[in-house]
Amino acid sequence: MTWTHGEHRGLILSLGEGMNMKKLLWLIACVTLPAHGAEPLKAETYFTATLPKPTPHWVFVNDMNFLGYVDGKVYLIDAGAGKMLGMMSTGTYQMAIEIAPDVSAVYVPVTFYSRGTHGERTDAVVIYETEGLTPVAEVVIPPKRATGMPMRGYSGMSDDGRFVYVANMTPASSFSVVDVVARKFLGEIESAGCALIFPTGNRSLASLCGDGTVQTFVLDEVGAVTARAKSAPFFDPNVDPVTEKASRRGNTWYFFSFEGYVHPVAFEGGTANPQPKWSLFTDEERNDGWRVGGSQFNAVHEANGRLYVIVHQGETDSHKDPGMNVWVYDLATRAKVDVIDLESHAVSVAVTQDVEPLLVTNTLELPVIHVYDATSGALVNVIEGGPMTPSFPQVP
Amino acid sequence: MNFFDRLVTRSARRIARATSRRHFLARFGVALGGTAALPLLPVARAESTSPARAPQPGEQGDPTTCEYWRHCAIDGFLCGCCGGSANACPPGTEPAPVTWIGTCKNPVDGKDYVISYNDCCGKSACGRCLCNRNEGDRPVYMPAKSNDLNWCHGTSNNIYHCSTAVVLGLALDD
Repeated sequence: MTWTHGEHRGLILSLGEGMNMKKLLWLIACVTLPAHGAEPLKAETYFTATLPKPTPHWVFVNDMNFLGYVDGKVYLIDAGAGKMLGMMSTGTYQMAIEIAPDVSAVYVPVTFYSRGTHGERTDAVVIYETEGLTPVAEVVIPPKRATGMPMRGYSGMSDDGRFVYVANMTPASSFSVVDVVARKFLGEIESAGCALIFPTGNRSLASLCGDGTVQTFVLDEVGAVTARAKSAPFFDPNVDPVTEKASRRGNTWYFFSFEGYVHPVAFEGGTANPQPKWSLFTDEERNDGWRVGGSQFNAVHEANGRLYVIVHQGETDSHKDPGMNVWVYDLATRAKVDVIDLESHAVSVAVTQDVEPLLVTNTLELPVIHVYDATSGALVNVIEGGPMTPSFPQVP
Repeated sequence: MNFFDRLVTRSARRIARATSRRHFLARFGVALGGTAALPLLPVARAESTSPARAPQPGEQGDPTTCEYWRHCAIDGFLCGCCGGSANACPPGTEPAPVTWIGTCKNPVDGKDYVISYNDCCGKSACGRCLCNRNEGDRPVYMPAKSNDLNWCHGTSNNIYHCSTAVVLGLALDD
């Protein structure tokens, strides 16, 4: 027998004449025992980890699992620590989630078929308890939920965390109302000509419409409509439509047009009040081809009023293209105050809402999440290896 | 280049987008593409009274590539790579009777055609030949022009498999 040291304190053994198994085992035991007579490792128990208390740097990352979308997922990461904390397994067509205001629960609208890809269809809002990211209940809703490329507006939640709204399309538009506290489906409200969910209060929401308006809805305590109205037109969908990807600060929603104009719409008592539009780009920047684009390409920090927008240089119809830059604006002054160069191209961005905010970016085709210091722009963490097809991050 | 690379690396050769979409929509009201009564390309119309099949003599290009002229506003897996063709769903899948449309210019005759991107449904993602081109694509609140929606509507289930690119007819200017 001969032996040589391996690379990592092991032995490479080769059996020679006369070496029997007993001797070999004795030798292995000798060379694998810890040095200096230290105690051997103790036997372990095994268990299921539970999550620590939420921190401001928790970020949920939606993963439609594009190639296997009947097995959608939501990853929970600690953006500051740069690690995955856990995952929710969420079924077919993972679009967006709703996070309870106290982060004790996460509500996920999903679709199931009784035989995987066929059989009876069931749509539901599944209620997950956050500590274990485990489904604990579900509320069945009409099997009509709108699906497609994931967008934040496919669902929404009332500010008090009691109602969850789920957008429907058959292709007729409507939305389902679920009381997630009572765990009860309350009803379906038609929204002809309008799509997606933009919550505006405890019992009010809005929907974007193909005629350049928003439709507003005010609900009562049992989810019935008590008032419905159309805003004045504030964009021309045939000239420069706003994208479906918007951000909210206070009770103002910021919509972004293909050509890079911001259309703020203030809501009060469920009524929409469109504000004058303003441009993200100077004329020179626009002539240089700067555009907005991607998936959820914008995010707002509620407290400091910073708006973060992924931008790129491209042509008409590049409204879904990724960008290598995040331009930062002060919503109060509408001034561009910073430019963050990204390490990797991105289609979606979220910003944590603490005093040391982090930017979290992703693009659909890469299994990697990038984390930046939102103030300095410095790259903080890179989380690789999954989610495999991240659509967009969401913060509590 | 894998399919995800193609997702973000847009086609280098962008076929000129027609300007007549709105005129067509204004004339026909709604954009519902049915497979039961497909108009024929003018070239095929003179040759046969039976429904045309893609590709037709009056066009060129490879229907299994993203650059194929009919794909100017598509977003999905190309059915021609999945056992079907530009106007046929793969075996065992079900064509959706409602869909979104695009208006694409046929480089052979220089004419603009309305293309119906009927989804094929009932089996999970084909996974082959993903193609995303957004010429004339509009947000989902304008659903007939939006390629982001799952268009497996009116089928026995809404499980998406792949997308076709069916010629509906000439896009007519007013």
